[in-house]
Amino acid sequence: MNTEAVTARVLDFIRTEFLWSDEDRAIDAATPLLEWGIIDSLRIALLQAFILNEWDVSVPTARIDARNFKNAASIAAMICELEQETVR
Amino acid sequence: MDFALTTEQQRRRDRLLAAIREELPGRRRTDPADHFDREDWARAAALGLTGLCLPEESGGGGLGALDTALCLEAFGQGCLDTGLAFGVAAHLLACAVPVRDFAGPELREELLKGLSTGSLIASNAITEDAAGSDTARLGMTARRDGDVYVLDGVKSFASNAPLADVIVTYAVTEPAAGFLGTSGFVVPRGLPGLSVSPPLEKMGLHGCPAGRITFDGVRVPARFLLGVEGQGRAIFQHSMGWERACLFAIYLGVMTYQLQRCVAHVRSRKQFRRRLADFQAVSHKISVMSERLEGARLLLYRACWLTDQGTADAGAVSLAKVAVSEAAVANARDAVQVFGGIGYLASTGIEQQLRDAVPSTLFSGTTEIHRSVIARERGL
Repeated sequence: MNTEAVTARVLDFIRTEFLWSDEDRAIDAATPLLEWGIIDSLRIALLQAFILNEWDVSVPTARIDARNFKNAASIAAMICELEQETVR
Repeated sequence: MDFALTTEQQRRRDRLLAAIREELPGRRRTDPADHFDREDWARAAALGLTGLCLPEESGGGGLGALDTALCLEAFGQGCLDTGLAFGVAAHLLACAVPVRDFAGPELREELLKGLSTGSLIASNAITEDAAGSDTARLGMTARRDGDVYVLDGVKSFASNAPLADVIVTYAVTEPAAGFLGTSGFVVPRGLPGLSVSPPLEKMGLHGCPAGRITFDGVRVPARFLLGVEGQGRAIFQHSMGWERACLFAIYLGVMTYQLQRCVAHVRSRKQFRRRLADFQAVSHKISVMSERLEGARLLLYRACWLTDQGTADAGAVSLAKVAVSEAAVANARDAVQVFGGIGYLASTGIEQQLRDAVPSTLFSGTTEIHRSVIARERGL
């Protein structure tokens, strides 16, 4: 699993599903998603469902924290970690 | 697929229902200031109701979600005081469950036995004036200061608060982390800076007192943190999963009792020389009430079963919550109509069921929030 590709796919999902204007969609891998309110308690469920569908990776409740969901890069890193744990 | 309860489940439920009718029948409460007292609470605790799903080694019943719901359904069916049943269930599911699952070993040891046996009463304080359904945007803060957290803020609609010994609450510990920057705490009632208002005057559930809680620089030892910093949202959602699945079984019990009363009434009451039951407009109302009740019951049992399997998703729990609470309101309104003028009198107890049902579409997430969750689960 390529972290950069996962990051790009996560960003694409967030832009498409959560952001409505071109201005809003100008986010990158380091944009603070929680601080800016882009991910909220309802949207995180959608994100979890997307991660499960896209990579067959289930995000356990214990991993839903500010460090893992800080930005697209950290989400991608978590997905890769969870995928590796599943493989092992 | 097997829809039947096991013999053990049926026996436990029947025994408990008989015991509740005998020892905890409750009474109608028409005065907003008339709420449960320690004696009422102790009677519920003596029947094991305060610790149904808590570990047996702590004095609890060691039950899973479905068995807990079956017992709470019996509570709702056998006890006229739905407010008391609600208060006990909120204590158990919104407070004791997070202590059971997230408190450190020392805190767990310190609190769980008291919560199980009912010597401690707990209150869940999440709602704020500016954060009702939007619990991700809490105003209450918790600032770390050495070995303590300093809590500042005001909570409202805290069930059991006027009588509570401990309060489970949530505050922002890391503002930049958005909704993942909240943390959960257990706060002993006696700490300096904590004050509780007199009971709020409500429309229904009079048996359960609710109040506002002010935290003014309350210094809470760090060991009273639930889980780890930033885990508050997950802890709250976890407890709400249990509450939404199990607590609403109380309303299944209320609706069962209500339907039995309606059937008895329309079979015996005569108008125009005919039994009310012989009027199709009336008999169909009874049928529709049955449809709502049985459909809601199936969804709730399924949500509890999924919880026990560890596979409950938000959508399944939301479906059950909405189905039960909307059925409770609709059936209570129909029951008033079936009883006619006497249903409107407080002495009949039918109007209380309507007043007690109305808040069920508001607490534990409004119907509108849950329908949004369901819609999102469908990909909208």
